[in-house]
Amino acid sequence: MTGFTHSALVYESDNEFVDTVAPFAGDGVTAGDHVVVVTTPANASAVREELGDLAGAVDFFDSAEWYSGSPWQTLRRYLQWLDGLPPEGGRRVLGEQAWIGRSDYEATEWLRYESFANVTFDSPRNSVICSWDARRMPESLIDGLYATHPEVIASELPERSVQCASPNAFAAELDRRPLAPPAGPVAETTFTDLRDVRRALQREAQQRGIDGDRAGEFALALNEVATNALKHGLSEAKLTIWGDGRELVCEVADAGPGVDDPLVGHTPPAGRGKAGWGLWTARLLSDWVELRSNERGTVVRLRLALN
Amino acid sequence: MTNGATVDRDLDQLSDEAVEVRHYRDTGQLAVKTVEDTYLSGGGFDAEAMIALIREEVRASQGDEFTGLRLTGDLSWANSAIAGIDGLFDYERAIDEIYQETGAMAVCSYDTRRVDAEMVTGAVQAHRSVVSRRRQEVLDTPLLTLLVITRDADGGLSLYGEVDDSNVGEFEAALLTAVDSRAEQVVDLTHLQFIDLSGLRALERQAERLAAAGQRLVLASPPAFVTRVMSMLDLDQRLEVVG
Repeated sequence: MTGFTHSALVYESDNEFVDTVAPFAGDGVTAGDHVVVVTTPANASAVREELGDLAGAVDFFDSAEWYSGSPWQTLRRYLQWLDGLPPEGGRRVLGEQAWIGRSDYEATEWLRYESFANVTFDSPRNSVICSWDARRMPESLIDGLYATHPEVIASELPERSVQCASPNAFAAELDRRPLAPPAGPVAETTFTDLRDVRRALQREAQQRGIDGDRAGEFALALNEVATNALKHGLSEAKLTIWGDGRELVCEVADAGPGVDDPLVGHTPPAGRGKAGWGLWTARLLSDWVELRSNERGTVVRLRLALN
Repeated sequence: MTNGATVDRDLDQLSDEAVEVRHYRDTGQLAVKTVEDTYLSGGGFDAEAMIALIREEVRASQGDEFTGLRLTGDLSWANSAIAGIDGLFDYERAIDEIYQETGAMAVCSYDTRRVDAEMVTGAVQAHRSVVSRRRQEVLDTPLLTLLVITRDADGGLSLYGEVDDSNVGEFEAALLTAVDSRAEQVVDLTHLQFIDLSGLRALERQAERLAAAGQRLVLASPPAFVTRVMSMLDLDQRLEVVG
């Protein structure tokens, strides 16, 4: 165990990936660490080949599935993997996200996830490498990469214009990105009763022919966010609903004092009675969550994708 | 707050269930009062006086000695011949607000063999959660109530309606009231329209209380969204589910 590390590997070729990842994984196995490699099937088979017999002790997962959905679903997969390990030994994680095809708001939350990884995975037992395929990586992400990883490994470093930021400072920076305006007409109501929130959602879901079970899960997500708004806000809050053929969006806005800990609800809270369960639940049960908060109020936007 | 004629029997019954009732009565943690000394102390029912009495009990529970207030009152005396009875459901709604503000839990019991149908309807409407054997009658009442718990012929419980932050205290109190001493307490969720995270936590706590007493709580036929959230939050490892 060498203490917590969270590095980015920026690779230009398949060989460069294998040359870093195979020793990271192989040395881990030899040292008695638990190792997970989440990458593309092609990268995985190259690493397996290089590792030989040691490969059997490494857990491999396909990054397309592992990083599907939202960052919070991915984090839950990692936490489940960690929870399933015996207590002894270090933990080595290699994760590779596919950044291509993500919308701006998705990229924002994935970057937040990368930054919060400095906190959520922080343990002297954990070593984390995030690999980035330089051949396919959008150039716009280079600043984000530097801002979220304390160490960057590359044969040729991309030009650096930012330093690694503390997770809270980086989150504050991301929060300056405004939420996109609604794409179409909106239905807006002020509520004081949680039942009205659930009824409003139910009506919209029925009109759009959304499956009852999915609508039920989403209602729970929305209900938790609305509960927070009534509890921490000023006992009334605003619900705005809109959507198109691809998604249904619900936004809850309160005029309360705001969320003081930007990490809240981005991880499972440490105890049953702790703050953040509502938001964490909402993040797991809806397809996407965005939150902006300041001393004048909090806005939480939930998305339900229509398949 | 119970019937004066049965106070001693009620206390014996409580003591049977491994609670040293008389000890707690001595320490002031448990107070037992009669209907005659509370609801009907003025000869009839005085809503204002009762609201003041409840406020006083809530205040007393907020000191350093105690963590909160659980209160149960027997309202089987309620009938149209009692002076001031018209104020009963205004009183019920007023103390509902006090409980909401303070987090106190209360169960009002109405003996359906003794109170008339109009009283039962009023009682159902004045509470956020109802426990009853009279399933159809309660469900047919135009409900202000969010949640109904019925006790089925086989001793199982069924939940109807919704649990959220506005009635979760009553829901937990109703669960406490509704469970009995059988080894396996089945709670049927087939008809549950909605339950939030705090409601699932209340079920989790009830399961733990039963487990401590050597009993089991079994949830039957949860709706799909409940199954999903239980698995997402690993509640399925702590709550037993069938069907």
